[in-house]
Amino acid sequence: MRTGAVNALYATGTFVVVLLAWQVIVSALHLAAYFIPTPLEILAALVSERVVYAANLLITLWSTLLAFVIATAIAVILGALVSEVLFLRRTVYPLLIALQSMPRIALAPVIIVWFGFGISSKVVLGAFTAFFPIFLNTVHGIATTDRDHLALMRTLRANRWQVFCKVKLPGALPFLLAGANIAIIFAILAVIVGEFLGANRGMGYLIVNESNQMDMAGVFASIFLLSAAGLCFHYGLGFLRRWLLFWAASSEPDADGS
Amino acid sequence: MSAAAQRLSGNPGHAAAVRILELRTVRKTYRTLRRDNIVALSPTSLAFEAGEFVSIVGPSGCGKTTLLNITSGLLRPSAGAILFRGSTVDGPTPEISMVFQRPVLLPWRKVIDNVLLPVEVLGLRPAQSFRERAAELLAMLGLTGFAETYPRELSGGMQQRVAIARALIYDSSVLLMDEPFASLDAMTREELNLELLRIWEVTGRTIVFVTHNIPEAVLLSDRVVVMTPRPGKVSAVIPVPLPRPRSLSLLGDPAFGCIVSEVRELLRVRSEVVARAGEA
Amino acid sequence: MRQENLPVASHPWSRRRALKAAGLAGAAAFAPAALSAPAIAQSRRKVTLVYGVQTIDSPADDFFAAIPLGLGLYAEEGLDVRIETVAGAGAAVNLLVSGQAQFATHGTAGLLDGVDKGAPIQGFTCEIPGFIESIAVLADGPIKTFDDLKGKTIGVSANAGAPVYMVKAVMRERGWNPDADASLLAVGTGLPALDALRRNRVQAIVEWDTIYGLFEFYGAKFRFLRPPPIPTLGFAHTTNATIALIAKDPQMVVGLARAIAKAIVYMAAAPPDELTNLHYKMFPASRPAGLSEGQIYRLDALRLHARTAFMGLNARVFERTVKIGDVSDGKILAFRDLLYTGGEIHHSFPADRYFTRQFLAPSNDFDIPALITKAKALRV
Repeated sequence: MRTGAVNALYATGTFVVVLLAWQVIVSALHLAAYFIPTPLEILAALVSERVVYAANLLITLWSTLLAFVIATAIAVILGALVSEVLFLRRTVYPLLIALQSMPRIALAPVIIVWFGFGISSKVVLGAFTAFFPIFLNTVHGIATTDRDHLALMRTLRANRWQVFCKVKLPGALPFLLAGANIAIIFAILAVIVGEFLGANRGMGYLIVNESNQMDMAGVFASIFLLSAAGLCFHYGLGFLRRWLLFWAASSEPDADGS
Repeated sequence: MSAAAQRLSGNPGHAAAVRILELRTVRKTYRTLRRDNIVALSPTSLAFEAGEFVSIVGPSGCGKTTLLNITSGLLRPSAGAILFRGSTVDGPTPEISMVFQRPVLLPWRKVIDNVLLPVEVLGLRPAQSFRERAAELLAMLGLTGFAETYPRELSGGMQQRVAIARALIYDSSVLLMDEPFASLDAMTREELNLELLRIWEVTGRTIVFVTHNIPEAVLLSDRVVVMTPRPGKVSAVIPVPLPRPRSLSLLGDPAFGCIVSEVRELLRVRSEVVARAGEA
Repeated sequence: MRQENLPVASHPWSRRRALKAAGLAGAAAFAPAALSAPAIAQSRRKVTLVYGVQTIDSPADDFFAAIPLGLGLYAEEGLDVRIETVAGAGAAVNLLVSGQAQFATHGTAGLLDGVDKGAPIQGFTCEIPGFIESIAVLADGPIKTFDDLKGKTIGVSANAGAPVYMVKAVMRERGWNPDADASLLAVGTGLPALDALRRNRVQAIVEWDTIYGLFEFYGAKFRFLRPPPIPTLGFAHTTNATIALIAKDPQMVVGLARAIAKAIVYMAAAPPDELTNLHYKMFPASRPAGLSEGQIYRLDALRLHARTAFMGLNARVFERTVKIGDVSDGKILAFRDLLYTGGEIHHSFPADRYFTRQFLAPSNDFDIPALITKAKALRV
């Protein structure tokens, strides 16, 4: 516990020092506001437009969350099916691998044309990019199920469903959650790109506005907000992982039997 | 005499015993990458009587684990048959339970839920009586109070005990044990040996116990099956007519020492033969 | 005697009569609503108008946006307009042609490109009949006329498009070699362009009206050069529809054109600060977070002023010698020829293929002087 607090202190301290240096250097060099804003200007921008920031951040976060949840659900189901059903492994799996190598962000304009300007195109884009890390990790996690666990279930003549629910899925959870960590970042990036290209709301749209208005303080403020959101997702997932994977410390006995 | 009485008297009886498990010319060969056939287990025939405690000893590569896996139904033999109470076995069956070398507990389940896993999978009813039985087994194995803990909080020896409880929770007739105490220290091992004997006496199951520890095998068993490698085969079956119930004081008994030496000699001679054959 | 023993009919206020009365009262209450329901259903038609730029930055662009939306001008015409923004005129033309939008408003290069590729689209109102691109040099710099730029570097917003053709046309007009006598460098449309000019990496830049307004807000002082043939050009922004819609539903087109014409009156006459207020009320996301209120007023006044200079407002709104939304054939053809010479389009159609004047009279059919007075009194 103490180390955690000490680490946090160091991190915050470094952050504060960087901000101070930034403020001093930019002010001293009299750099133009449109070139690089000072932290104070960024803060002022955040505060003065807080309603607009809050509204648009909420939209982006909501889109990201939806995309992530949908991607997770489809990825886990498809991952399970592909792992268990040989026919699907031979047909669907290679197809998905091929899709994965496609630059999905490049599809953004197409997705916007298909799904419109509203939140659905962003969610589709986000889900599409977030899907792959979770799917691949789920398949890998199921494939690397402990052989002994499977043997145990065989001695009990467990059927496929029992094996899947009691052994394969819980065993794959660490991999799945590792994939989720990556996936949520993908999701938020894809959502923002979607908002860049065709939206009327959201942080991406806000950044385009600010950029067109040469509002550098606004752009930086948006970027900071998004970084903060990313951090929150990261820590949130960390909590989820620790809560779900409470058992994931080594369960093997030591060599001396202790 | 009843089967239990026969056991206690150290006399594996004759006509009254039931042939519960039989291996008939069971053979296992593997194909290597170079298309050779490796004989993991030469044609083997063994019979086990109900309520017996039989050990299988041998060095690595003698096929004892293969033999056990075939007996449990996890491995298909290349030839031969397994018979349980006279009918052929072609896969795992709830009548034969297994304890592996590693505890193989599901880390995301509490100890009690690990013990109850077979009950869930086999759909045994009523659930409450099995819960009670699980608690009894844990108590018998010295794990009272650990029912709600997770495997990672237990030592290796304790985890293995949970695995034994799990193998006992349902009414299998045969218990197969694959070097279950191999990874434990000598003192824990002795403790668990005695516990195992106690459990065997209470439950009356047939136990087939694989080990590479000769004194352990002789201490526990009615008969010791000696296996040698290359090719893996049964080279002898030594009866152990020592009186029951057995205790650690037996370890100093000359009769005990005699049987241990006999087994050891068998293994040494055979492995010398093999080594010389290998050098030739 | 107990109430329930009375014969029902003779009860002064029987249940049946009460129900009847309630029914009639209800019908009476709902009748106006029911009768007018068809009228209501007809009066607000859902329409999508797509804009060829992702963001609506300032009141200078509000002739189709904040003004008609915020002041109910579309609603007056019975239109429920939803504005979509896309990145580029090409995308806007796509949406128009595919039917996902009924109207598209964007720069005329997009219109001519679309027609060139066979898109069945046509402009019906020209909001910016002037050519908004100019060549700019620093006011206190050594460059005084275009001829001073011989052998120098001119910064352009992009390596292709109308600005590039324009510069080359100017060079050709002077007998220069368009590929050799001055070099062109892409500098974008943001502050990097201003920066390049200030650092003398380029000696002139080519941007458009509102960009210059933004640069001036940040302290730049320009001398603008508009040598021939720039004054002949002047067909910069139109609102377009498919030819099918124009034929099938001219009423809707008139409605949209008239709402825009009214909005242009506001742009000409209303106090700039009020137009600024209206803009950020309708598009709060476009408000520059880093500027104070006073600064925003100043910035938008500059941009509005820059834009209205090219909209021919005197002739159209105040003197009314030309219809709002009208543009001369000469300007249309001059712009067509610019793109044709530049190689951007490969066909040369007559002016009326690109632009139709059929809606100008009806769209100007409202009391303009009265609206001017109303606009001057606008308070948001």
